[in-house]
Amino acid sequence: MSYLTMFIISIIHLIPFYILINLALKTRQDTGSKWMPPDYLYLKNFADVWTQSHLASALLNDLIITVCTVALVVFVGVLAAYPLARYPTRWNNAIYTLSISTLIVPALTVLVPLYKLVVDIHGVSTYWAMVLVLTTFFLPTVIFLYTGFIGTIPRELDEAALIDGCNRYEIFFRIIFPLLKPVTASVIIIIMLGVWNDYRFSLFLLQKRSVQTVPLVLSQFFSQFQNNLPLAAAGSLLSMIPMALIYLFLQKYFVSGLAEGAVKG
Amino acid sequence: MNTTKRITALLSLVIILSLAACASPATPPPEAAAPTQPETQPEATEASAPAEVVTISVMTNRVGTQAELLEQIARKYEAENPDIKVDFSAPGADYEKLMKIKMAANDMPDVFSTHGWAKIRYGEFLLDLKDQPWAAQLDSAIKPAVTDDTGKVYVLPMDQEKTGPAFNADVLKEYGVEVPLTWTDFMAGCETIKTKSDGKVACVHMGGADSWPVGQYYDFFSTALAISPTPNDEKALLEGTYDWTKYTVLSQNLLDLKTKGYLNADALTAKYTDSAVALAEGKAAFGFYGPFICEEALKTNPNFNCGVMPIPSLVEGDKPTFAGGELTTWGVWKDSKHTDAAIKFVNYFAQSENVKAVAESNKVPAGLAEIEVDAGYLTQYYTQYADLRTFTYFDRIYLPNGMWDVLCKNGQDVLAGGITPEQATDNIAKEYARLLASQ
Amino acid sequence: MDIVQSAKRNIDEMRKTGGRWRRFFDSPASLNLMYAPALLLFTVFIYYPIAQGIKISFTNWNGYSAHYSFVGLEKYRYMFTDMRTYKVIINTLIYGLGSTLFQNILGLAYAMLLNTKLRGRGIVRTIVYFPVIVAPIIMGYVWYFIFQYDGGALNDIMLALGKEPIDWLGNGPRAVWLITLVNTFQYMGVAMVVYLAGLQAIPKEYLEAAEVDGASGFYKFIHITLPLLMPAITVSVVLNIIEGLKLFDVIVSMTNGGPGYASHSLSTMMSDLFFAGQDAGFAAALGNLMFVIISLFGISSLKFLRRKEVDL
Repeated sequence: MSYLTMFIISIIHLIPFYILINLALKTRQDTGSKWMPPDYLYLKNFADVWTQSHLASALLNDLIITVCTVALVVFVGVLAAYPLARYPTRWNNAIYTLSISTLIVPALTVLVPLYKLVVDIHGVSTYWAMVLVLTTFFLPTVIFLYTGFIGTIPRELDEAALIDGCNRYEIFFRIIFPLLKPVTASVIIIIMLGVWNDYRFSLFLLQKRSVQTVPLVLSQFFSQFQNNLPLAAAGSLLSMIPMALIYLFLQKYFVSGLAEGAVKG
Repeated sequence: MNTTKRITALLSLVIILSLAACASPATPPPEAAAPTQPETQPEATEASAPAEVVTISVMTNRVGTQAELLEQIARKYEAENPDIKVDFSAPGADYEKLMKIKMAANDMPDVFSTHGWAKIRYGEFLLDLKDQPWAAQLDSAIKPAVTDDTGKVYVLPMDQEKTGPAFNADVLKEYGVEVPLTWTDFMAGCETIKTKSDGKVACVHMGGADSWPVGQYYDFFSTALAISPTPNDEKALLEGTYDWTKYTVLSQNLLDLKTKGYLNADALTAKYTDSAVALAEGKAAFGFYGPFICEEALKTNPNFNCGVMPIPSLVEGDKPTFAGGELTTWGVWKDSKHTDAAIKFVNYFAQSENVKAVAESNKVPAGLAEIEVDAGYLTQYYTQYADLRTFTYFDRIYLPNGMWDVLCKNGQDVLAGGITPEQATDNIAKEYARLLASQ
Repeated sequence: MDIVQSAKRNIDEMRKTGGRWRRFFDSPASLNLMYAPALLLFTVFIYYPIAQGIKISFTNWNGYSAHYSFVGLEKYRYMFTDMRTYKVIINTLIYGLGSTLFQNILGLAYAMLLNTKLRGRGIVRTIVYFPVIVAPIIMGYVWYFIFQYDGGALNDIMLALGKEPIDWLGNGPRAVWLITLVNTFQYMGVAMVVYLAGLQAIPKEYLEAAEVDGASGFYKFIHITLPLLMPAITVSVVLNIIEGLKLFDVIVSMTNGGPGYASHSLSTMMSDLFFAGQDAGFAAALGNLMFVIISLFGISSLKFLRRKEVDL
């Protein structure tokens, strides 16, 4: 019975991808039903989209930006989370609430002044400005998850280390930080996906073609090849592969990471 | 993570960041649309110190084959001018959004397309090009759209629109419908098509989900309503004293198309590309678009017989018209740091063979005078209707900037049955007043 | 360990000699330096722009030109007297609360199913989570292909069943609910993963002890699983509510807020007003309203759920 349910669930959740793959294998003249697979083998869409668009360089750009952002946001976030979790003074609580409420800010509210700021510091179409902006916007989530997790680490550990003569910083780097490994894996996955697929900031901050990332290239597919949907579909499938691979590779850490930390009582 | 790993991670982060910061992002990846190689090597530069390489940023709203063509010409220009590099970008659907944000930050590209809004929206950012060699050659039809009373020339218009509804010639022939020249004839033709095809062929296909096709309808027929007849309301519109109750008829006609079953059933959720496909497959007869939809449709069905007709007249005794205006243009940012290189770039595009190539890619007349354009399968229509007047798109002259969206949204609402044509007119009039005041 | 010992010796010496620095590094207050970088980033890239952004709501700026003038509370008044605002607020609540409800119920159900020792459950988990990985713009198009009137996947089925095709997204209220369902489908994987983690964190002894006592499956669920799952519920529900109320990409790809304004959320409406409507002031006012509403729901749900958490 359970196997049947699992099977049905899988089928339902695979439908969108079936349709996408179907579309990618068709020629643009083929306007037949979206359900029926083509009765010919047409792989040219994949080749075409690779050569006709900047998918290769977009993948590289996305990789660079994602790696840098994830590294930076984890570092800054975990640093920030420690005092907020351990020492809930009035001031710290205020900072915590402020950080979380930043999650709610709609991107458009800050878009124009933010863009102006980036222009003024000559950061448009640069990697570093993009990384800094994305780091800032993903910090709240990271802080949220880490504060939750640090809360589950017994304070006794801190006290013991203090008695041993460590100062506060040493406690953090030597004792607490190593214990954060599990939830770090989960945080990395969550942030990684968010950064890789970011569109709303990339659109305005990455204007030169040479630095554009995958979501921008995809958007151009869809406006440029509007009438060549099979090509756009092929492009979409290709662009999914990196993240899918990374996720498959890391997924066992993902659930266990969350289990050991953020969602424990 | 132990200390060693963490330090390694930090170090790699620092290295990557510094590499990235130092990495010059200026080299564009190899283009698939191979630029034509120059036949002769560029002339050796003078013996004086080597010229500094200047990079100009060029952005256009065009997409697809048109954008590729523009880029090809840009690469040819680069080849002939080794000290100038062109950073070419065609963002597509988000072009306008990008431009608005850039305007807000006063960070425009050195050269950019103005897609019909050279004077009204981009005006204050454009350099005056009246001293350029081609400025005297502007085609008389487009000249008013790109110049003003002070003689400032805002942009180089490489081609211009000559637009009216597109149709599937085979479908019209099959049902024995003549190209209608008045709205009454148009409705009658629709009735014929609907009855004879038993409702299978939509008389008009509208891609309402994309919003702008709805605006296109209003734009077409606003001219027919208020500008082309005699007497007309041109003066009232220019002075802001237009009586908006007269405008209700447009919304009513749109609603009638739907209630009488002449419009495609999914007018609200179909996109522009769906219209192209519907026309190509003979599932629709007319589309309120223009010659551009012909190329799109041909990609789906190479045997598609595309036709372009003038906009039917609304007022008794009036003749049909074409809508005109900017299509592919280049303007120069007045605060650009490389105005010389930018102007040179624009002038390069003003050369006859380049203007001709661009105009032909859109199958429309050129923007500079005395350039013969081969309009291919549309030639017969341009010849047939050569005597008809062309009026610049209504909303670009008589409506404040921002009204386009108001028309689109209210049209959609009318079709959805959410508001009556009278209410639509109310909304339109209100927004008109607000936008006019804030200009 | 030499480094540590020498560090300790240094510290002891510093302590003996006294001085502000050393006392500082011993105190909790010194740790506050740790969130300095984060605060710096927030201030530069968020708070400063927000202040500017709020200013915009008091002007009649059109979003791009250099000229504008201050109009005081005009935009706010306009916002509160415009009927569209209330429609959009309702839509946003449906998107936010509706999605959260469905996602969490289904997510929990899936998690419970897939937490058992079934073969191939890893694959099914990945399949369910997959839409989260895919870029929203792609999923949007896929959904468009499904709901398209002419040639869409759903209508093909309707035709095959001998029925008339329906213009699924052509009707405002129906479009809103379809978007909510699509959003659920898209991000359900996140809820599932959070609940999987939560379920795995429940010590097995509790459940086994209850079984020994003769408790039924239902009883176990209500009295043991659910209470111990509260932290997971908090995380999942709060994040879902915030993301759901902010919903943007799915709406834009499926209906772009249409027909007319029928399916806009506060977020998409704001974007539309800014770019298409060229009314930056109204957009900014709406943005501030959005912030208030989401804060209200987000923070109150957080407080409510936190209180229900059981201490182990």
